[in-house]
Amino acid sequence: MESSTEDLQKHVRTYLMVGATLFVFTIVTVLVRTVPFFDFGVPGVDAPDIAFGLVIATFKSSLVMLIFMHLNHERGLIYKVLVFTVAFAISLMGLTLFAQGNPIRPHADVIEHLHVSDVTAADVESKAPGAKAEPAKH
Amino acid sequence: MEIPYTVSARRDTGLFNSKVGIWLFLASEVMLFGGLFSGYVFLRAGVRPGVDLPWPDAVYVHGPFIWLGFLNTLVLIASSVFVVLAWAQLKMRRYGMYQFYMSLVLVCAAGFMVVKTIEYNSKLNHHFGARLSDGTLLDGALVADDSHHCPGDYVTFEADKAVFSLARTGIFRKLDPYFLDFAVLKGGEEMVVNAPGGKQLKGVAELSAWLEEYAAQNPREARVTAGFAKPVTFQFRRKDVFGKRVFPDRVPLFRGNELQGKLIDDTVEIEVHTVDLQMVRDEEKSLAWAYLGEGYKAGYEGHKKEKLNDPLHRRFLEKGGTLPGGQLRIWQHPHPAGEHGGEKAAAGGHGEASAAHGSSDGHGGHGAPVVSIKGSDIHFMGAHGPKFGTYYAIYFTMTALHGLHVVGGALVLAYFLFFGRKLYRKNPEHLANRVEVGGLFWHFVDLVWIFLFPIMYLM
Repeated sequence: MESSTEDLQKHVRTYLMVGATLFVFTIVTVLVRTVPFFDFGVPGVDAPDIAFGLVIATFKSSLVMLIFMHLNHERGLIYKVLVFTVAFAISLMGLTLFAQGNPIRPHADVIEHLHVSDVTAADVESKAPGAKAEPAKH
Repeated sequence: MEIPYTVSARRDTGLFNSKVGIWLFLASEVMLFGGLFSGYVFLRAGVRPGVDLPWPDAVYVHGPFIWLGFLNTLVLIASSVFVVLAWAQLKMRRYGMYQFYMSLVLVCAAGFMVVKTIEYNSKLNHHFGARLSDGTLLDGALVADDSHHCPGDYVTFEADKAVFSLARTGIFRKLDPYFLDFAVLKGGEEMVVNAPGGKQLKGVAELSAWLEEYAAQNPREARVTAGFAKPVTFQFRRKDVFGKRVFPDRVPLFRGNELQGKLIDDTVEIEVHTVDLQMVRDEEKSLAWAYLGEGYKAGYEGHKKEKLNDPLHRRFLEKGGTLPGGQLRIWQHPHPAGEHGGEKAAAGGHGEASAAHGSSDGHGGHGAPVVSIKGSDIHFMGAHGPKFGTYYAIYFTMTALHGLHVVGGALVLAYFLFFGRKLYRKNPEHLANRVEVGGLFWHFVDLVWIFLFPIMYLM
């Protein structure tokens, strides 16, 4: 990357701003997981929390790649290399998903006795009288 | 020989060669870490609720270490900014400022590794878990005395006979009753072995010499049994017992050796921080309550109700949502219902709640109860190392590999900092290119951590 001193000084400001943005989004990720008020979906870890965490991580990594690693103005050869890399990495993840589609299941007896079932509002009413859920207001 | 295109770009690629090289290397690194992330997904998604050892809620597992992980994330981000600033300073031909920023990068790398060491030390030496025979999972810490000795980690055994293996194994291929070296003989008693043939052997040295002689005379024998002149009481670290399993009448040791006699004490003292009942058929009959007492059982039930009454939970359930049952079966930092402190963890039918190594009220230093668990009730136990479950295995694999990358990257950048002056004087652009390439690797290390932190510490 050929740049004049003035250009480089502008870049330095950009780097500092990106660094600050990365700091802020790291704090947001931690808040979502540690402060119940910011939690998505079911309190505790669940799919929306995981999705949110991964979206933020992807955003942060994009900033690092585009700005710090200069992928926003790189030569064509690098992009060609990365396209192949991304394609293979996605295929690798795909193999894992194939395996998930054909899991090894435990014996039916084991499932019957050990499976920890999920809890609904009806379960709360029947199993925990002191924790009756109020009827939903429409 | 001059390596071509290290400073100026090749006409066909438009890039200097080392930049092409580092990107190809980074592509291979993406596949390496991609495979491991894929393995993480496979292991995590493959956990069958109620059947497999539950995937720990990382927030519970790490507790205060979330903040160390958070600190490390900030440190790595800062180092990424510093490395790109160091490169920019070189491009502007400000060598002094380059040195300043590069020094900060190295300080950040050292800080990252120090925090990592603290975390690993805590997991490997202080945090501990035991899965009981009914599936109850108790997490916490082994109780240590003032000298960091963990009496609860020892097995006491009174032996009247020993079986010595005559198989030559190990690097030195010696027939050494090696286990006697690390077994502590209680009460300072002298060990006298009645060898077959009526000979009396005093101490490990005489015994070793006799074993060598016996093996030479009896090459077809695999083991020899010898009695002690009078019963000897040994104490073993549990890790020195083969399979960590002791029996009422024998202690199997490594390499085929065995002690026979009477088990005196096989209890493990744990300061309980978390009770996880995801793998228990009937929560009410969990072994946890036999050790912790009814007060804690009531506390657990109350805590569960409290969770279900939480406005966020209730709103979610009323809208037709379902709560993962497993989450309700995890109870952190239990206290007896309505009696915080002051009550001993009640003695149960299986073990005896001990106050010996905690505070006098039967609680550990953090207000957590201390229980003595019988070895026969323990299905599996250990520190939170890679062996303690798939989460810990993948956690240590990925974070350790990442840590090695941090060390490797820091060494390269340190070389540019401490030995770059000569090259800078000769051709500053060449050093700038080197720093750019080293910096690209450093940013990649940061990228990996950006994903590792949330998936290992927060999810």
